Amino acid sequence: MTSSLHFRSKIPRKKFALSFLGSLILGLFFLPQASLLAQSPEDGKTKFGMFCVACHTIGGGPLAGPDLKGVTTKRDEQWLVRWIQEPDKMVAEGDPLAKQLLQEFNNVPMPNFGLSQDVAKDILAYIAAESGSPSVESTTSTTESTADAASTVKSTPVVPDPAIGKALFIGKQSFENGGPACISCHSTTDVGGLGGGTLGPDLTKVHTRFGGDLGLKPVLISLPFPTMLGVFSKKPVSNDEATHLTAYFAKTNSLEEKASMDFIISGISVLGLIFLFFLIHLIWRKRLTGVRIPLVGR
Amino acid sequence: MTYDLLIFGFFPYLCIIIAIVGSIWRYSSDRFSYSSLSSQFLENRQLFWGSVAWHYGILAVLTVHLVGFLFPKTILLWNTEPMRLYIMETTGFTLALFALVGLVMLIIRRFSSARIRTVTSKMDAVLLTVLLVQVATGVFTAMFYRWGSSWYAAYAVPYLWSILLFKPDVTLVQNLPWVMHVHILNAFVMILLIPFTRLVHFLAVPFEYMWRPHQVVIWNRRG
Repeated sequence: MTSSLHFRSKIPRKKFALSFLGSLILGLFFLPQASLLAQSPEDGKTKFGMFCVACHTIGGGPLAGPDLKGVTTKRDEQWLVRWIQEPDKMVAEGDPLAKQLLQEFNNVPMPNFGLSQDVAKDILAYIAAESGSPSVESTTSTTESTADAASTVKSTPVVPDPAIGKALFIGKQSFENGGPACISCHSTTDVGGLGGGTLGPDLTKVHTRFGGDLGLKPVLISLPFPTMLGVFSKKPVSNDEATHLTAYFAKTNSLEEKASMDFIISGISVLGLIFLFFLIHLIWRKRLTGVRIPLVGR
Repeated sequence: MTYDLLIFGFFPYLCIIIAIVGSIWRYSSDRFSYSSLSSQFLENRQLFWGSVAWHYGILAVLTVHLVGFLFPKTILLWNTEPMRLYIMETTGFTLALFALVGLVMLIIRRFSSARIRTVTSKMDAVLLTVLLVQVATGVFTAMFYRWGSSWYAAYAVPYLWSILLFKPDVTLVQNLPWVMHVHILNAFVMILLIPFTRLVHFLAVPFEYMWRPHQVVIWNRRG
């Protein structure tokens, strides 16, 4: 065989091993100073503001979840710590109190944020401290932490407009803090066309799921879901935007959830695929009329 | 947490550093091996369908990934109109399928033809597996975790930038579905493999092919 082909020379093993080791050591040197995860468990108040305030108050009445004033005296501490850490598992295991709470609060499950035991205890310490103070103060401080967490509370109320809510949902209107549009990951039947995203759940009936305006709006402000926190803790939805979105979801609530669009999208793409193969056949059709194949047979 | 940090905060650097050092080392010690080692001489018919579909598909998909990485806002801006979002997604998905089908054709060709098997190394098998995992997880994500173009720009791009700026923020990706985790980590494995496989040809992009005259390659005797 003529050899315009050349073959890769074998990599000398010793050299390979040396360079591999060198790269590894270099890698360790460059190990970044990780400003990574807010893991420090020192501040229960901050954590409460981040993870709990969307659905709970301390003395301010129930929202999507119960008012937590005095909860540390009412329930066993170990149960509370575990409940904060892995509510999903406790419901799955059939813990009677967990199931009762879930039912009581419109089957809105408490999310598992992957919090450590220390963080859970800090949060409980904060709740205990807050529960001790007069309820008026507790309410004020809870409101403050809501404001801290979401920097959203404004003094002038807006008129809820489902049309603006829809524009925010599908992205025609951008969120003022730069968060991505809901349609990126969620759908509602109202969207039409090929629908919204499917990374997150369908939100057509979210208004009922989260217990109406009162439960849903605070959730939309702090979006306490593990996947969303990565982006929305830095780019929170504002109070006004949450108002419009809540109005929009109240409207979609009457619709039925739409069937999956997977089949239609796959169908369109398979047609596109066939077209592309046909196109390359056309573009390079001369490959079939060369001189070599008729001459040498391959 | 530590686990997430290790795989999303440390592993990428390990791969990138080894890839850079390895590529420089290969270029200085074995320059003429910077090649994809064409096997067109050995088998041409199946190669056409596989190679053309794979290369055009993957280059288009990679270009959109790159545009999204460099200018995430342009993608988000384009997607503000649902119809444009649908056009972007169905086009991207079609091209991803084009790449996937092409790659599967190339894999079948490589292992079914005796002539091609002779010039196939173990590293080729490793590379093809990694590429298949990468494209398959990408196609799966595009289909079942819609709409990837938007949330890629909002989640994955800031994560990639955080890696590039030596301030890895794993909170952006640690809670995404595991298929996405495989897609992200496997991408770094792919980078790692560049200097140790025929993927190295990707560093010698043949832009010149676009304007040089065509070449006719013929056998001068039957082999």
